[in-house]
Amino acid sequence: MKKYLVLAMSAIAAILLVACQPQTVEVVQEVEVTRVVTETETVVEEVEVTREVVETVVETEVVTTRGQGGRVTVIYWQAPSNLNPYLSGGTKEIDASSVVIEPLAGYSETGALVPKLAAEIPTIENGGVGEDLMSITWTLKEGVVWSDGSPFTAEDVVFTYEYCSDPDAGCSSANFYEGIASVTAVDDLTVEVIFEEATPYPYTPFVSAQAPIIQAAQFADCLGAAAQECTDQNFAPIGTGPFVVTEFRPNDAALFVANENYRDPNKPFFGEVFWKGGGDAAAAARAVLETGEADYAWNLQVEPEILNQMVLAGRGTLVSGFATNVERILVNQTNPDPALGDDRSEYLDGNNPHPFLSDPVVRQALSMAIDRATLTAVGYGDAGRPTCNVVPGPAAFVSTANDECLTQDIEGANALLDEAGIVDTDGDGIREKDGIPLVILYQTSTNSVRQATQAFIKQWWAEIGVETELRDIDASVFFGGDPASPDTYGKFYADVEMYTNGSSGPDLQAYMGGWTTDQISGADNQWLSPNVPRWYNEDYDALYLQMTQTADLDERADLVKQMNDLIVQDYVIIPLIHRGSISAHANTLLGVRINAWDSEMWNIADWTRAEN
Amino acid sequence: MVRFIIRRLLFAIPTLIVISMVIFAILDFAPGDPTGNLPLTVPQDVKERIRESLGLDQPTHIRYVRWLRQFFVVEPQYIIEDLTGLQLINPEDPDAPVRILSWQTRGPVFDLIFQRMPQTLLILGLAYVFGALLAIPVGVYSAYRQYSAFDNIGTFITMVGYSVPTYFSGLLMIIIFSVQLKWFPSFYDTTLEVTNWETFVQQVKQMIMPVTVLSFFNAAQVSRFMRSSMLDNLNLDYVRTARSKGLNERVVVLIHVLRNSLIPVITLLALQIPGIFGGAIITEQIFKVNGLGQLLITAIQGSDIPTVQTLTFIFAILIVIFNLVADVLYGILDPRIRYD
Repeated sequence: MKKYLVLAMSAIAAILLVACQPQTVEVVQEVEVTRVVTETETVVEEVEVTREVVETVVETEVVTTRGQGGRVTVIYWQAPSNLNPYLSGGTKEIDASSVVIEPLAGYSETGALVPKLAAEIPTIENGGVGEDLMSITWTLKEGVVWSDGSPFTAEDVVFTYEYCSDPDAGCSSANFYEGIASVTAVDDLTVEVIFEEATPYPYTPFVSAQAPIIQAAQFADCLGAAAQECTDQNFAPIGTGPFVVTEFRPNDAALFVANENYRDPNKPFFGEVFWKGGGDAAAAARAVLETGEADYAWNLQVEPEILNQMVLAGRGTLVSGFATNVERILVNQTNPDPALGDDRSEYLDGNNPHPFLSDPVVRQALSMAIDRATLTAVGYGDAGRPTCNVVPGPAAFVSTANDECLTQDIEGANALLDEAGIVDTDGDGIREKDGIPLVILYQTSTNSVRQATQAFIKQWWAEIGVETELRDIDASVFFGGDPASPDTYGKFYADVEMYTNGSSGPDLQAYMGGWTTDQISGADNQWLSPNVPRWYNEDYDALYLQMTQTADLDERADLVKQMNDLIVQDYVIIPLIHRGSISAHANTLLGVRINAWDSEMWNIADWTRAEN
Repeated sequence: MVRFIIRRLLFAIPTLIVISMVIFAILDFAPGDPTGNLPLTVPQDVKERIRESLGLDQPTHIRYVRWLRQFFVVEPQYIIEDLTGLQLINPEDPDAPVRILSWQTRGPVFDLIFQRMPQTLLILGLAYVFGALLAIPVGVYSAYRQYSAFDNIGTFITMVGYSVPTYFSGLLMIIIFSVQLKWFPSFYDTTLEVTNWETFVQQVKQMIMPVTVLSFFNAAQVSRFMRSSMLDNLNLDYVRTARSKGLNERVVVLIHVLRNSLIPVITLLALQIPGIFGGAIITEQIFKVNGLGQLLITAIQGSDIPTVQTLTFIFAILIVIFNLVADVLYGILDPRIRYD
């Protein structure tokens, strides 16, 4: 028996020996591990300085050879389920597919339009956009070919429109192709889009990684309901982008190689992209910042403290990009009392007001009691900034009229309530308005950061005499649209609720349109309309109507600011944190410009690696 | 024996049908929505159309019958086609039956399962074999030298192995061997193909940590079982008889006692086999192995009901089969047990 034991042991030992071939552990690593936390700032500065130097070097000698950079490893810990963004709509699929398929134009990291497959951005000045705002004409780049060598033409663009606008396809970007009367190929390189009505912002169809062009020849049999069954196409679309799919393993990994037919002969620098998923955000951060196994890691929602500790290893850098996402508290303007039965949280033309939250003084006090800076520091770190606006970007659209909310003012909130006669009459520590105690049911989705935020806010509200009952609901239920479920955010069977939302792009019209009176969520629209607080404001409706008829960008920005101020100064929405996306890249990876307006991979063709 | 097996197999059919109905009903009643994880910027009416395109607007019983047909009629045809190269389904036929499609990937669920099987079977299978190889000798020796230093240390180690969860030991290993020593990768690369010595070494390296963690965990369980089973037998009369006949200790322990003590252990091992196919959800997640366990958990999180339904039903079939295998093995190993 001993013999077997020895045999087994030696076998294990042999395997271990083979695997543990001596590897040189870098000395630098050991030094950095012992660094003290107080040195953080200097360390970070050093890293950034060296990075800038290298970047300028690269910019002066731009010439790279396609594929010379070997492999770049990208971690999306939530791995893509397929590579057709029209059938998934999730960020993971949009970003992964964007290295293969491209739109006519995309957004840069500042939210500015940049041409991709289009030769230039059409405007009224260059004649691309009709004076009556009824049409836009795109001119395509000449000589672009698909990765299979066939020419890219206007017919592909028309086909993309037909594919996604088919109601049976279940296209998740269908809203990008709404309000279009026709899309026609004028010639091989010209596409004309005619809108059903005047469209002041015509850059929605075929723009951004959510609305890329797919190849007509490849997807010809995938129109309508058949879209769901086109597995081969959905897993390996043919594109015009810098890379080509060679292997796709859903929810696991993908391999891409440089596209031999990419329009810039010297790009991409990298010959291969290894896309890996699995694990969680902390593991992804570790792979870039500590073990150096990967070059880029996406969406690192990890406690800020842990992330900063990992950065100390000196291998990588955190980058964050901000678009329009705001974590906000919505204040129900209707009565959610269960005793009302089917009428709970229904607007009923204004005949079902909330017993105390319909009073703006109470709402203002709730907002004043919150310390947004603390919430940001504890839960978000570099991925958040305190905000007082529902429109936190693009910069030209941001109002500065509300910034005083950034300072917590519990005394002021108490004084405000006292003045309004909303005081504690029965001595239980809870204020009453007209005999109704201010007891609030506060719901949100299940998520550790959200629950921490809830706990903080509950305590601050207790300090102004408001009692809060907390509730959290599984995200797939809360954000799901099941009309039979009482727990969706749209039904809003609570007094206040919290989640993040934002505009789907730099054009804010659709986002602002979500708070008009005809968008009030309720039974008649299966609780699917976006005016979830059930807010009614005549002035707002008028401003929005004006916006839909205004094309001038400065005027539109001005209208957005006014509308933003109306909402937040009425405190029906209490903005908390402007949320960004946070990613990490290895210090050797150059050219990363994190982009919150479009795919984070929008400029992967320009990425290079520093020489060691 | 043959009659027993046939009877049991026939009895398994209604059992499995009931199981499939229960699984389907539970999943259908469970809250959750496949479009719930989409960003809020996707408008609700678009989400509604996505749900319709997935067939969610149809009543439960129709979806159930459709799934049964797909599972028992359509999918086997595709598997046979794959294995034999025969063409049973005309791909040009517009009415060709649709395979079970995952809601998350829009790809056939069976393709996903076959894609995930190699890494799961390799990691869990090796862990199972190593675990058993380690546990049986340790269990035997601990029992034979009960309360010796070896037994005490063995008891301590197995208790630690049994009670320390893999998400702790796994993370500890990653911190030591990936972050500090940089010996092994913390991400398992499923696209790696073993073609030469170098890739073989890479493959071994990425397997070492998950296999070690899991075999340690398995070994802890099995060795406790082995030890107590040995102890039960060591004091029995037949052992005394064997010794008094003058047989040497090696023969007494390894032939007489071990054979009898292995019977319950083998049942345990047989019943653990379906678990190999089930994957190790936590361990796969920690080492990013992305096998069947990870497939199941991401499908649950994404409310991908066809995938969850198909996977859990396959597990149910495996459990029923290996229960039967365990019973049959029992009969073969122990002549006193007769089923006819």
